[in-house]
Amino acid sequence: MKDKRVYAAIVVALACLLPLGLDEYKLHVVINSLFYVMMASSWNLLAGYTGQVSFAHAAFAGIGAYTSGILSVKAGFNPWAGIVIGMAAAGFVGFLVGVLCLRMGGIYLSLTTLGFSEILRIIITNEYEITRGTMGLQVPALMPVYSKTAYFYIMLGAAVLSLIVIYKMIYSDTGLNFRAVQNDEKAASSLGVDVVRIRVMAFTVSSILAGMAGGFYGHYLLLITPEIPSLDQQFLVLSMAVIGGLGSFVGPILGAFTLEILAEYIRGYGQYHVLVFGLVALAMARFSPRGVMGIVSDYKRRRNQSLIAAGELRG
Amino acid sequence: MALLDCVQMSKRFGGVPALQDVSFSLNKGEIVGLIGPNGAGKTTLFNLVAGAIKPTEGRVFLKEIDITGLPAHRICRFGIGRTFQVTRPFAELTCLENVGVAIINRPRKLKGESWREKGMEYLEQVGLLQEAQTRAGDLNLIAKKKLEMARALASNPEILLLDEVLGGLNTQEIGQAVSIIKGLRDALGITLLWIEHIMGAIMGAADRIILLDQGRKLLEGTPAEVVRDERAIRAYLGED
Ligand SMILES: Nc1ncnc2c1ncn2[C@@H]1O[C@H](COP(=O)(O)OP(=O)(O)OP(=O)(O)O)[C@@H](O)[C@H]1O
Ligand SMILES: [Mg+2]
Repeated sequence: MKDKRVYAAIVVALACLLPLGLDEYKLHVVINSLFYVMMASSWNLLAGYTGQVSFAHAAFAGIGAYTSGILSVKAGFNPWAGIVIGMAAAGFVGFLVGVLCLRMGGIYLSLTTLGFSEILRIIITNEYEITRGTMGLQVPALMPVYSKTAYFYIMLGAAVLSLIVIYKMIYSDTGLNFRAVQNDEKAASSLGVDVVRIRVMAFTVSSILAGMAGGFYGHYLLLITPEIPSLDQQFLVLSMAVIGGLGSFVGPILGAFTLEILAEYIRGYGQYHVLVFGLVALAMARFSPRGVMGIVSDYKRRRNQSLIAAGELRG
Repeated sequence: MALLDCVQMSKRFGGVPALQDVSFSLNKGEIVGLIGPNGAGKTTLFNLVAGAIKPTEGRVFLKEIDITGLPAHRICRFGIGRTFQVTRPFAELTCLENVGVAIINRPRKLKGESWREKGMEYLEQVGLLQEAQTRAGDLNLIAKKKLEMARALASNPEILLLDEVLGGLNTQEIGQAVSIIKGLRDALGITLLWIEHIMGAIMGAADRIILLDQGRKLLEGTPAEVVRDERAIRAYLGED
């Protein structure tokens, strides 16, 4: 536990040095990656730890981004205050969707959240007066003088904050309750777990975090489009978490960086990257449901077992 | 005043009666055996008491408080624990984590002790200490049944509902398990309602027997009375 914290501190400290060595474009890719780290990790909290495979996560990022964007453009809000209100809005809607999905599991929950996501996208696209539709809504920056380096540190701070919340949660009693609910709701409730509370809590918290990711990202891009709450985006986030490793803390972080960087290379050959990632994620879900991190931990376990066995043989 | 009172409980599944007009009480510190042929409604009765399903009619009182229809987690927190006939381990969690779930959801929090330390005590009690770090899904059936017990105990129940925990054990293991179960009452004062098909075990351990047949309570009495009863022999005991 202690040295994990030290590792994390070292990684963050090294990350702080990145702007020294990266050009504008590469810094942009890293900022994108940090957005996806927040998205994939908070989706993992919901899907990987409570088993609620929601397709509305990008939609919640959209709620965060549009709430903050519209408030700052139409009502003159400070973007930072806008982001906080956007988080609250995403959390509130997430709470409602969580309640709506309470009696659902598996494919029904996925389809319901997919429907919600599409409805939201259609509303945003059609409410041109407020959202500027597919043209996109121009929003103010987070600082008086635009600076990519400053944005990098802001996104890094947001990502670290988000990850601390997630880490604390999954290694607390609540995290154990999440996993119990994912494994068997009936058994969990027979042992005193308030399944309704746990499921709705996971939806609410992960939606707040998605809203935060969307809010910051929108004010970084300076142009909010229905691309943020799109299904494309949802499938990309899903692929990152599934390939990296559902139900592991590190998996989605690695998945987000790897896939975002790969996407930048593949993008040259047309918009096929989401399709490719989707297929890899499907294969992963079929053959290694716990993703790359699952393969790593299985390998470690087998090696430990054979070491123990070898030790026993020697006496 | 009885610890638990069930009054005229009925349950129909889509019009088909599984349980009809069953009433009974549990007194503190009793071991009560619930027996009857397959499909008699024994597990259904457990599900009604534990809040897993709601009764069509009837009421459940715990210390004279009406707990009918409360959600399962609240009934657990009121002090009624249960095991499942078909075991339901949290397959991806370790045995220790399985037990931990029960500990962290108690209404009274642990003081100065973590659920990991406390959990080991329960695993030891049922003989699963070696398997503390094993994935529950990897256990064999007997170990899974032990885990069901450990988990239910870890929720610190006043009343424990045991659903066929001896199935699959050999004679020697049955002896051990029965002495563990008796110990729960003798040492911890837990009141037990226990479904079992193994007559040798339940008749020796129970203070009182309730016989269900086709959803109805056929009779109730001491083990000695029940084994001699004509109706019991015709409905159930004569089978083997
Ligand atoms: N969820 C359900 N839906 C429909 N019918 C059910 C359900 N649960 C139980 N039943 C029916 O209710 C009746 C009683 O079943 P129950 O499981 O309570 O019997 P049991 O006494 O526990 O039997 P066994 O000794 O085989 O465990 C059976 O006819 C069963 O098919
Ligand atoms: Mg049964």
